[in-house]
Amino acid sequence: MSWDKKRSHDRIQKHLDGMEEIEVKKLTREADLEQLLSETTCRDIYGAHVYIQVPNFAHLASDGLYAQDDYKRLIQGVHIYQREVTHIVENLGGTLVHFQGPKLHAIFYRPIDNAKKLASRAVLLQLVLKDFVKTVFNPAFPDYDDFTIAGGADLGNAIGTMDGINGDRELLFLGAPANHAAKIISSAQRLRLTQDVYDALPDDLSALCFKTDDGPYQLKPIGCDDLDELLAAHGLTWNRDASASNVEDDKKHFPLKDIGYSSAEAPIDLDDLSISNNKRVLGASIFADVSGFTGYIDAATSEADKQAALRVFHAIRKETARVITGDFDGLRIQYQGDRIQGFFHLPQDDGDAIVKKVVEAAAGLQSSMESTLKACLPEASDLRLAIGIDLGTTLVSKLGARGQRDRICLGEAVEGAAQLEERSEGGQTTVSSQVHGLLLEYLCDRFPYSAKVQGYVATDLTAEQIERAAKAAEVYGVGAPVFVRTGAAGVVVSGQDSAHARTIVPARPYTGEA
Amino acid sequence: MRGRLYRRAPTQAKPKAWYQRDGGGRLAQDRERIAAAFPGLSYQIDEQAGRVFLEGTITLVAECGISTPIQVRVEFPDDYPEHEPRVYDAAQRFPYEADRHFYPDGRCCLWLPPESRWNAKDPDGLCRFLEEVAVFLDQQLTYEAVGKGRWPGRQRSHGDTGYVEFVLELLGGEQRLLDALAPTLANRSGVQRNSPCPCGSGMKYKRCHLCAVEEISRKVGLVKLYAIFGRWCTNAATDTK
Repeated sequence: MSWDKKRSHDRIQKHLDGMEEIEVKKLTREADLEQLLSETTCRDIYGAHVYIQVPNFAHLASDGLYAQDDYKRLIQGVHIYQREVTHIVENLGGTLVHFQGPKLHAIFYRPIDNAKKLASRAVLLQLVLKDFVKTVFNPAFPDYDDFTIAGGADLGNAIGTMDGINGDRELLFLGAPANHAAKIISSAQRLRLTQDVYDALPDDLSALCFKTDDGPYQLKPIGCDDLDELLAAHGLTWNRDASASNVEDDKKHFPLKDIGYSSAEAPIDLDDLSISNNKRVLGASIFADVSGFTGYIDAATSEADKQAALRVFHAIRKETARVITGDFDGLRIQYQGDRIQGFFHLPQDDGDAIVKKVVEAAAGLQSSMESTLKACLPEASDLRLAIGIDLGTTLVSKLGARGQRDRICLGEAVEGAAQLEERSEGGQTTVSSQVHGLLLEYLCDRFPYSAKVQGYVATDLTAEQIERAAKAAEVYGVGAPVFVRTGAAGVVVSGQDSAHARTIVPARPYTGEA
Repeated sequence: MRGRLYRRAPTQAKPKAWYQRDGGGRLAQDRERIAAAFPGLSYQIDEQAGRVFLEGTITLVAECGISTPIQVRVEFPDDYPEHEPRVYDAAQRFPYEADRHFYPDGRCCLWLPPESRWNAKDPDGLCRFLEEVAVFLDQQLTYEAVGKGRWPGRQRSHGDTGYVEFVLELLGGEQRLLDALAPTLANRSGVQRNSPCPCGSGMKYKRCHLCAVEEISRKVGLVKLYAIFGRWCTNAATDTK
């Protein structure tokens, strides 16, 4: 399969035609977001968003481990980390949004509109998780170098919505706080928060913060006793020993002998993945972000504007997923707000073929955005896609319990692709040097190196351009004939013969004196 | 019998424009075919100047369905259909550069004149010609997509060199032969039919390369051929010095 304008246009239009009226109201009472939200039932939610990253996992999943038991222990560690962190988030009154690989996204929105409590809990979660990793998780997994965490928190209004049906539902948040919290994460061991969180904090917690040179506030490290006192003062509890016990229980519950991983002999079926069935494959990670969408949704102040913005969002969300999964047989790993994460692999770990496919998929995504989504939704005319792609050994797994499971990809290439996307502007498709080295010769020149983005950037890459680049190499470049079809729809000049096409060997153009 | 004594006086009437000849048959025929194959193009008739233009868009559609409309203008010579029309990029969609095979006024340089694919006798000749134009425009879009700054496919060198390449190909690609025959092609050798052939074969010219030189002259045209190879010989002599 490949990208096709008509097919893309038809499915977008069908989705829009079938979409019920979107309701966006302010969340005014406590509710189970998983139950409340849907594609068309959305809520404007005031809350504190927290992201916690564990950078070590990605490195270990790529090249850090070679012995089979070491790799199994990593899988065991990731799953146990996710289970205990989920408990901790819930115990502190938060809601797990999802794990983006090893990166946690949680939200505190209860008590409703209570900025002080929401900000406090967001900060305390960061401190607790740092303590947890240091005092519980690292001692439980002594074979590895110490794991470290980095975090970010922001406070404000974001629109909560939900995609998918039945067991394949994902909570999604759109708006500045859900975005900024992730963006302020810096290097390991730093816990950061925005001005809005800082302003809402009570004195005992704001005293722990200092302003950094690059903007956000940062939390100072504190000892175990101080943390326990703070939790008690805020009416929260976290029992370190109970956490340690849970981790030990989980280690017994998921022994190494029950953990399996393999290369993929066939295309990965995400539904089959579990702690006992993981995949370690060579694959290309792709992240596509709707550049400017956070500003677009934040600028929507009236309910009608918000409804229109969500209609645009859901159309983009669904179409990007269909390009990845339907047009190019890739895996949709996750939606992360207005960003989609995809993964491409082939059973033979054929790097060249994987790269060809993922770059074609990227061009398909850009084509959908520029040609069909904007044609169906003129209000999306200012939105563009920024795409990052990297290739490397990746662990593909599924975390969590039934009903709330996160598909994850772990590996340096996943982080690399995400970072390339974050540094790219709308309309840019950026690939790593690893991917660039495997690009077909005729595509290499489309991707010049950009020191600013620290990657190889193609601007305005579309399916048409991929097609033309192939034609330049395989048809025009070798002097092969083309097949010309004329008619009401226009002129098709193709390298493939078809009915009613006229065969032409391209003339040799010449420029003489004018 | 009486009529023989009188010669018809030269007419003072303005000669009919090509599209008026034969009751406008050729125009009607072209119009019908163009409407079916290139519906984005339509005829504009300037009665005052006695000129006809074909204007509008040629829409190139990629296999994936993305279409690119390109504004063109087709001008017809007075002796159409004996000679081919000229095509212009009407909206400066492409840069008018020699390396992109455009003249500074936006005219498309489709081919070396002796290699023209125009067939004056083909009733479908205009459609065939516009299909060649579509391939040329498709190559322009491909040039942009590849981003190499290199023409996708084969092309002729600019100016005299393009003609010399063409003649060299007619001579089987033998540079030695081209060097030997160049003064003859420039009408500077004074070689006679019964003289030894300039190629050095020892045979009479008429039994050796006369036919080849005549074929080249017919394809390129004597005036053009003498001019190009005259310059070529002069440059060669200068280089030797």
